[in-house]
Amino acid sequence: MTRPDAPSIRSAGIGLRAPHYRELCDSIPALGWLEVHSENFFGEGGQPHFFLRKLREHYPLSLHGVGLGLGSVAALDTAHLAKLKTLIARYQPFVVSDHVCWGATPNRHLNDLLPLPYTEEALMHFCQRVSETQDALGRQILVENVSSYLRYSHSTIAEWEFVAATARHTGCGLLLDVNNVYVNAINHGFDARCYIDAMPRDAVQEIHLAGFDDSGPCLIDTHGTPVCDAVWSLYEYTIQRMGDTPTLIEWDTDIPPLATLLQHAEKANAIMGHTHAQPA
Amino acid sequence: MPSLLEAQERFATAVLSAENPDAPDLIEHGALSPATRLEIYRNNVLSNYRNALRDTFPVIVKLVGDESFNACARRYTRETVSRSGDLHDYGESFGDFLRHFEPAQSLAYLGDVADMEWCMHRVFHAADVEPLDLGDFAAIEQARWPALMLTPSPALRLMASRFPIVRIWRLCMQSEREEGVSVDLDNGGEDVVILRRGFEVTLEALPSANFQALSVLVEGKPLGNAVDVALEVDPDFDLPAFLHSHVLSGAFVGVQA
Repeated sequence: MTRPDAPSIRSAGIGLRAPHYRELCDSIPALGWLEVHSENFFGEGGQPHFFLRKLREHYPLSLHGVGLGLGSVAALDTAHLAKLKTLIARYQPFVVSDHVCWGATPNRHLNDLLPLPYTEEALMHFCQRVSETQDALGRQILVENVSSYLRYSHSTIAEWEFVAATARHTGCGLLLDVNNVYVNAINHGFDARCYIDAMPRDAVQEIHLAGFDDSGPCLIDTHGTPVCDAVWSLYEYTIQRMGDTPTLIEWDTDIPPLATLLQHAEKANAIMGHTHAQPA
Repeated sequence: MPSLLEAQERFATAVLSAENPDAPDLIEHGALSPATRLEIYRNNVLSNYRNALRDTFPVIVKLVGDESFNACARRYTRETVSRSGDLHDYGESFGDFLRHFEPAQSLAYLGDVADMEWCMHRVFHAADVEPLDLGDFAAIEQARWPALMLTPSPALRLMASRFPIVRIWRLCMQSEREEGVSVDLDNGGEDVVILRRGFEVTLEALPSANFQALSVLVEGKPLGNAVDVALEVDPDFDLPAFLHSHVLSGAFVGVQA
């Protein structure tokens, strides 16, 4: 099943993190694409750019931001946006993404991916900011659903409706983090498959898979453990519904050997190879 | 219903303030109390800052130990507002904070070591620029040298300290301490050049005359002024050696006659 509207890349990729720079450059393993955190390359030069430049010769690249704070009421940070724009010009990524979250008040940044209250006001604000960003960058962006550990008592819209409406209103794409859907389904008690079902199929242009920590009072999205079986099975369900979609193996803490990431990517590829999308 | 701005302001205050005021009516109860839920965010936010500071200040971590460092980081985060969505920008004033942090007063050099690590962090990410070419420099008539102005590399920082911060740094970075290696704090300070060559961030303590001359050049003043200042400090100042070791070493990237 091919998706004519999607980028030609439909395989699995991995997050590029500093401990693997050299090994990846030396081995150039078979791998669909790489993703980096945009902010890790906001510096102008040095080792990070040396390796990224080399690796970009071999792999398509996705730029994934963690700092735009698209849902913050604080003014959109034009300096941040300018750095992102420079990075896009330098590396020609196939997708650029950030999150459905907020991260700053007018007085300070909190430097975290904080959940929005899902209200009409927040939706209008978020959509306006996504449009502003797309206009400033001169291209479509993807926005990713975040994991959360609370819900606001004044929310009036289901999270999945909020995320889907964002794509509908702004024409942005969606980065569907299947792990975050699972974490939130457990934390807030909803059916993860209903969330997946609510995602507009044509808008989903990338998927994230990661691991979480379940030692605390609720599931915490740490990106520091293997993808669990329940998330693999939700991923399989997602691929059946969406068709093959670029899928990222994301690991940010307790980073394992490169081989572990490549095995995860292989598994995602196998699932895509072995499942067939249902007709829309 | 609180406005979006109000909700975000209240959330931020609840997560960041030391008194942990609760914002419970903002947050659904469910299986966990609103306070427990906010505590998860408080931990996440503080650990993001702590980890960013640990990455930037590894020698301070070694000097004070994990536990004390984490306490410093927590206090610093409470007092120091983040102004950027990029965590790499957080920590510039950490040295200043340590100089005034009561529990750290017995280690008076911490502030300067932190300032040096901040310079190293910035230099690590600085732009790649081709160093000044020896041939270009040599082609200029010597009679015009006094008027030459040099463009410093974006990967160059100078720092004068009343503490031997490079020796302290090296002692910390040695994986196994050699027998008898120690740093005598009463032995005077160090004037330090922080420079990235290729990917390697290098530290070098310079004789005062060389350091003063470099400082004059970095301020954008001509080579003649730098030499005058250096000769005042050291009548035996050796200009060719200085040029070779400190000007044509990657520290400067351009020359204007």
